[in-house]
Amino acid sequence: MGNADISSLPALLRKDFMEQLRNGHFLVICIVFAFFGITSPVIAKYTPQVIEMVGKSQNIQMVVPEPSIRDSFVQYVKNLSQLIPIFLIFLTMGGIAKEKDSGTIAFVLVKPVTRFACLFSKLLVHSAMAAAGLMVSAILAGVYTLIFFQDLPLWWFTRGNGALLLYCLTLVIITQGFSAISEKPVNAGIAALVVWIVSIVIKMLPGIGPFSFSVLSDEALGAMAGFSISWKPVLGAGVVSVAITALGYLKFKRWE
Amino acid sequence: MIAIECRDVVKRFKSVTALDHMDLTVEKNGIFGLLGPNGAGKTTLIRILTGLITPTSGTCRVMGTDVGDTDSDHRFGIGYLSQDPKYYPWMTGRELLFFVGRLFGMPLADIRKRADELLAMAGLSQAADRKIGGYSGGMVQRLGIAQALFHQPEILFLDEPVSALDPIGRKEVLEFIASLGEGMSVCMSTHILADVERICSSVAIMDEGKVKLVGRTEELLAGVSGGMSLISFASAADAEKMGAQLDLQGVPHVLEADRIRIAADLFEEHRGVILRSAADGKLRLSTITRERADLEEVFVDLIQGGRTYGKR
Repeated sequence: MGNADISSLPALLRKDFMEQLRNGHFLVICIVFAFFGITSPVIAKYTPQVIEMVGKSQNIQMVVPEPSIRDSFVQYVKNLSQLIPIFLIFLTMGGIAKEKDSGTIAFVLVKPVTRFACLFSKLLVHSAMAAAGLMVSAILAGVYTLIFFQDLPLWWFTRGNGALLLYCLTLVIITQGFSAISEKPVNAGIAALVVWIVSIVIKMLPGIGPFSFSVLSDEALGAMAGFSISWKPVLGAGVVSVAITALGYLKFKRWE
Repeated sequence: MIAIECRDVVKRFKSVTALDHMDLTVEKNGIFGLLGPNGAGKTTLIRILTGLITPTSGTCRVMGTDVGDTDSDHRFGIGYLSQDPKYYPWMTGRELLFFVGRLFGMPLADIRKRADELLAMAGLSQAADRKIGGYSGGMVQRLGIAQALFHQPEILFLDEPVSALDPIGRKEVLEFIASLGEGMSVCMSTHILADVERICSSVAIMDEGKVKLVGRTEELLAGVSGGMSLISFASAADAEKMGAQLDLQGVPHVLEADRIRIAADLFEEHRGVILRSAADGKLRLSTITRERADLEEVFVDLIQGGRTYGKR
């Protein structure tokens, strides 16, 4: 006999990755992220022109400042931090909860597989999917920013995307944690959504506000403007991720 | 050698006690049947033995390894087919078997060979590269047996393996299970008594979370219930007269034309009265034969706690 350790992880990773490919989630994530990557600089570039045209048609003289690279970054971060969280939660809320709901988890758990390996595999695959999506988005946003604004401070842009990546991963990890706790994917999604909304509310509070992981989107924008990233929301993201994952694992370990 | 050993096992789900201080010992090799009505605790016991759930108290050992944790190592040696198996509909049958092989850390060449063997055995060679989502219930069940056998387990747990199959599928699967019993241990839960009688070398009858009876099938049939005695008369009128006598004596029986069917142990108890009544009434007795009990009688007798042989 062998040991039921995490040696089954490669097989689980392969299966979970194939599942995301076959059910089209991987493709959907890439398309949605690509959409925001392309449209953000385009909107930043052409919005002033559209406003001027609308003003002219109404015989109103509108003075709109010339769009800058900063407008492109603001649009990019705003799109990713406001719309992508809902999309990521929706797409990754299945995880363990979907397998519990459909009954496939029992088939896996009677094999020499640890519950930790099951959860870790889902976490890795969904995180990799979010990271790949963000990479597609960042590359396209960078290229289009360069085309429209003839400039791209690569290091600042990369650092800003690092903060966005941490933000996305925190949301994926929270969703996976709740997926391990819940019996139904929709419950996991609602719980993750609530945590995200609470984090936005906390962001506005004095004292603990800077520790909210939602501050990471502001930090991303700051980093793209050349400021350094504060450690406070990074710590907050780490604490929330570890706490919810630990809770999810303990609950899943005792799941019957 | 012991395959399964359970000592004082209790399993509670909130306020419901599914297993109530249950003890069970099953010898290695052969097919062991776990019989019981719905809610008897059969599935709970199998889920504990496969490591899907843990007992509230007590100990269980499978092939000598403790089953006390959901991450237990004993799962290397077991195969399991659940009552209503669910697999990934987006996978093909072959991919599922490959996945199982990888989970057990088997080399790829062995996985390929074993997958081909088992797909052929399960009659799924033609459908091997079709998605499981398009399989029929019988095909899923056969794939389930193939995946459970993939790593050549020491013991196979089958939870109601044929209850969802049509008669032909049932016959095929039962014959296949019967062929497994020669070289490995099989623990099969079912409520279909005829199946147990047909293929199980030993059996345990469970009710209300306890094992009520355990032993070799033949011994149970021969010893626990005496079966039925059949008293044949020369005419239906004689049989009817004897029936009236038995009614007077309060002896339960069934009148069937020129025959009277009576529980064998009741016949032994009232043998003198019956023979005297026949002699006094000049009833022409032809034969008295004893029919072997079937498992249904043993089962109903134990579960209902009394005879089921009714009066006419």
